[in-house]
Amino acid sequence: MGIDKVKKISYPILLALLLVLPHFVAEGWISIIIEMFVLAIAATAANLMAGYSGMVSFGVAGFYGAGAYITALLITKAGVPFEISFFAGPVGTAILSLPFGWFCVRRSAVYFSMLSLAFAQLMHLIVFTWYSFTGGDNGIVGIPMPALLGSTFSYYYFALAVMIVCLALMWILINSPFGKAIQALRDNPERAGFVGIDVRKYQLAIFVVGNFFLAAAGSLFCGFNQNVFAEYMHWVKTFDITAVYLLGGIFSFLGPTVGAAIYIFLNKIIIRYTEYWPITLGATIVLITLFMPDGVVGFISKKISGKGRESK
Amino acid sequence: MIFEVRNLMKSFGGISAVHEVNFNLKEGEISSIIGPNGAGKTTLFNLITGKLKPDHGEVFFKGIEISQIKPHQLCNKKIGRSFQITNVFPKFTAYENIQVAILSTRNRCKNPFRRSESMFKEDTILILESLGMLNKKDIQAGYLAHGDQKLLDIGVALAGQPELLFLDEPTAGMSPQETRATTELVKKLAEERNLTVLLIEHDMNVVFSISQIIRVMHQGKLIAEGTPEEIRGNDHVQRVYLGDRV
Repeated sequence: MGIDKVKKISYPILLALLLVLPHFVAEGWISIIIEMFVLAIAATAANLMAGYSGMVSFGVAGFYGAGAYITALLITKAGVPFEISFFAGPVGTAILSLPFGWFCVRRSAVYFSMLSLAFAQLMHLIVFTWYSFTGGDNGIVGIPMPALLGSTFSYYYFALAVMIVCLALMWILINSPFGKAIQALRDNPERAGFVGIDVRKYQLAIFVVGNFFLAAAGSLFCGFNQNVFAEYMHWVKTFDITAVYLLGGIFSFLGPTVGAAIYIFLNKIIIRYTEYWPITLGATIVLITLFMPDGVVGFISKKISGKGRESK
Repeated sequence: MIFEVRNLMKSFGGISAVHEVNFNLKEGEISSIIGPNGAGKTTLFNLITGKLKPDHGEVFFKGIEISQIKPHQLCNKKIGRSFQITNVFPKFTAYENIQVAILSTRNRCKNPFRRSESMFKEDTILILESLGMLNKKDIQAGYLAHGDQKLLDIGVALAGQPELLFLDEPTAGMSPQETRATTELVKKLAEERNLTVLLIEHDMNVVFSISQIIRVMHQGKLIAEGTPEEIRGNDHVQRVYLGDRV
């Protein structure tokens, strides 16, 4: 059976399962699955940069957190309803990442990564120390939510819808001419320039778009948790997200989503038996990168199709 | 005169790689630059295609100064180039390689919503056909044989509908058959598309069979310019470069 056929059958089944799932599982599990949705958006967005454009941003947490903080601050400081501040998170972050991106795309490879990390840590530092505005290390707690989204049950459906919309938009993007252009400059930036692609402009564009979706994940999590903390922006969070897309596979669109499911699942299971979750995660990542360099999804799709399928 | 190089100079750490080079290209003409290793050919190429900035001198395309502009702007001015070391998009199929170049040069890459798969299908197929690579269109470029990658590289350059095409050693590493086929292809393409072609080439058979004008570089300087017959008969060239090879 070809991989396309597998996909055609499995997507509707998966969607139907996700739609009925909350009726059958305990609330604790619903929360866990919402976390998966959030992480799936964040990791897919990060992979827009890492996997599709070859720009490994180490600042992903900064922009994830920026989305969460913009939403939280608008609700608590300005009284803007969640319905609006939820959208303001990603939009505001996209605007914020323009000047940062302008500097970052002037450098490539590890220098790009370190610059993006520096900017994210800068944002973290500001949020962490500005007690009067951001609450510093106390964060912002008890963010009021509209009644309709007040329960875990209803928020599950909101999060599912947001995830589907975000993933669909990103999927359309990477299959568009714009998506082709960013993949071309990942493979060969020099050649991309000589076929007329303004390399830096496209890198900046995908940096902004990636951070937009990262912030959408952050804002979604802010609404779910109803609290935000400075650690959302910390580099440790960046490495969580990085681990997720590496785990799932950077050359397949749904790799990061599958990675998110595995990551959260492992986390919740393992943490019941041992407090050494980071060690387990570390060992898992070592094993994956050694034996499944294309991630779990890359590995499986190669097994199914019997040959390599790249960058689809 | 479609292209003009005036007094071009570039040195690296005090060593002059390109020194006071002047030449013109006539529209529709195929010409070559030859010279021993280290003569400065590739540096000259990189200077006139914007990859390196000259220390001194100017490059004009249709009367417009282009030595300071970026590669993507050069492409938009209808100047294409291929590379000495093959330079395709290895993860794209042959088809996608040509297609992305067409999308980009027709200014469609800004579109983030439309599905790209079938865009410019006919134009893409047409180029693959003229390269004789239609049967390899679904193979990932990284897996193509070396000769096919070199051809594809030329195809990618052609996708921008260039008026001026720079080819950096288009037959390097090719088998004798592939070399002959590529030489014929370049001739045919130049004729069909009224292309002006400038190539750097090591293979003397290619150079002398394809070029209307040959320029010889030695130690960063242009030491001779003329038809293949004139270059063959030039004593200076014989001494510094051709030696016993012609």
